[in-house]
Amino acid sequence: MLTDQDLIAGLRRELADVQPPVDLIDRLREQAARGPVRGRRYRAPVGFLTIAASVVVVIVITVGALVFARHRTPARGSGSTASHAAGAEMITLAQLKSSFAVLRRPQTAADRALRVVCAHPCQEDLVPRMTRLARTLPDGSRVFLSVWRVRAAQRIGSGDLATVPAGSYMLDDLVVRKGREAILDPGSLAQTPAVLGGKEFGTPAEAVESSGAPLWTGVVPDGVGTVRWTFACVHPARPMGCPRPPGTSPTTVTVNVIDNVAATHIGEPGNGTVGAISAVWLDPAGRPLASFSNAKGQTAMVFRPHGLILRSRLLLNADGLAPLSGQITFGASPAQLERLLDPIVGQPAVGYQATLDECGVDHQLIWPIVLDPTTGELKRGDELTLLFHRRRFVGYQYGGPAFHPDRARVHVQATTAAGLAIGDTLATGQRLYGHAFRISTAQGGTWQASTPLGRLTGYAFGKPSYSDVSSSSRIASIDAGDVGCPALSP
Amino acid sequence: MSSDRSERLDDGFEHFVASASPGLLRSAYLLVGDHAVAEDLLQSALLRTLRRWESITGSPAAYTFTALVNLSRDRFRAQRRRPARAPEHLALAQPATDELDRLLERDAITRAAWRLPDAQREVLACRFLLDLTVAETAGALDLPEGTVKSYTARALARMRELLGGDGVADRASSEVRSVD
Repeated sequence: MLTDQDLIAGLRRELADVQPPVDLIDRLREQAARGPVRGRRYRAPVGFLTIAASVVVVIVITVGALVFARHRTPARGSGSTASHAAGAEMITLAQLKSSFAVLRRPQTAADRALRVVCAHPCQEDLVPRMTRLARTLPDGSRVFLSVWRVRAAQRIGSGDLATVPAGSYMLDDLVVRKGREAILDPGSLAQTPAVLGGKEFGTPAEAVESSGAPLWTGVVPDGVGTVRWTFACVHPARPMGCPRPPGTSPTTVTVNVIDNVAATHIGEPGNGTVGAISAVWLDPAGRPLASFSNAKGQTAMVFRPHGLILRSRLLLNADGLAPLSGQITFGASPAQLERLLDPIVGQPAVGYQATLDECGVDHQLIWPIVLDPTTGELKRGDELTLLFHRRRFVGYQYGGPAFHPDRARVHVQATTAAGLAIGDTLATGQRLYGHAFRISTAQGGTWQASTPLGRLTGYAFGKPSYSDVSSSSRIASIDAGDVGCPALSP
Repeated sequence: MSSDRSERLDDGFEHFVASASPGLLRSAYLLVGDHAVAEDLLQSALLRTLRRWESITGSPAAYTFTALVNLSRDRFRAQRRRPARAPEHLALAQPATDELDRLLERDAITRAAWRLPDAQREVLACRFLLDLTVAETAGALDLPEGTVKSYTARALARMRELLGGDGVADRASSEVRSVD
């Protein structure tokens, strides 16, 4: 005997294949842009108009009454599911187009030549009108940019990437060798240079098998003129990521960006490829815009964005830290912190380390947060330091008193919930927090902000003179909780 | 200019379309029994919703569904003046007998729903494809809440009866359980 639940579940299952068209939003945009359709008008003889007008009035009144009775005004809704207000963030095609000029140019026949085969049933739908041929290389390989629409809500990548809602759009590069077609493997979007909205979630650079030397590609948003990739070594046996051998110096190459794509052959044919350890995006003047590190030579790099990215990857709260994958409040264990922060900042440079047991702090974990744009090396001194007491998270310091504003462009994008980041001016803090933000000349310049979750404090960068701190001084650190002695106090 | 305007759909509306359109399309399909027509109706209904987006204070899904129901009724009235056309679910293109049996069996519950009165089908779509509450369904269809409940109960009972009558109850049930 079928139960009600059986029937409902069965109905849903049978209709599960009924899916809206991929380009529904685009169609709506076009129709909305066209506006309401107007019918043609014709001229009628004046004599006819008098009779017609009388008849029409009667008809209109009658039909109007009937239609009104039949046609209810759509309900304003009693109660509300508020489906549009909840859920994960939707990534729109407009967001992608706003960040990638190549998607904004008209499509050509060459762009449409991309043929993609899914190795397994595709989890995403290709948006054919958005494919772009970005580059044709000397060996005939073609680098395409392709836009995909997520068919059903899914988790892409790992760590801080939340579930991607159905309907989101993502950008991926596809390298097609001469005479071949592109093959999309399951999960490959998370492993290749790919972008979700304005946010990178794949690798900034990827090696692709090639008939000649290994081909490296990267996708970059508007404003990036060149990329600088640093490689650890050449290793035939471990083509996709060899750890940097002791005593060897890294090799750095600079690649020009054309049509939002950097692509070049690196290494020698048949000699394997090189393990990338860092990537830096530079503006046309050569200033670093964002950087990535991969100190362990892993294929998947740790992304260290700044400026070009649309949202913070790590929120600095007064009661702890909040990566996109969750929240870590004071009281958490070192292991919990390492696990949640790993996707954003990797493993700590300094493991669980004892400090002087004073002022409520006895241990610390340290992550470097600044990558030297010239060498690709992680710098010490500007750090994320987590502080512990009896194996419990009690405070943190992001940045430090020695922070220099020139480095602000290459740090992990971490901000307070209000949007304050190291490198911002104190005037920005005042604008964001209003009267809750105060500055002081104490300890060479400090600031504090009262938030609903507690108090944020930090150093302000300036000359170590009590008189130099002003609203144009910059935020040098963002701290919360117990940060050892002496406590910061404006 | 038009391209500028075409880029400026409200983000909230786009989110709503992405999240709600599968359920709305399935509801439309349940109402009209034709995939292409359902898509057209959905698109028109969403446009109506878009035009009132800023002023919708309740559930936008309920609002859109009401528009869908109105559009499907308009279409039904217009269709009466045109030659009859076999609905999609009956216009299977000469599959082999076994294949036909298989297809029919796979759609057994949907076909049973298509045999319900319009009002009951609308309630089913609201409640189980759009996951609207009884109150929201009542608002969307302009029915008393008690009527929504009784339509739901009658619809499910009628479907159970139809499936039993077709002799496919056990198969449908086993399919459901295998999915669970």
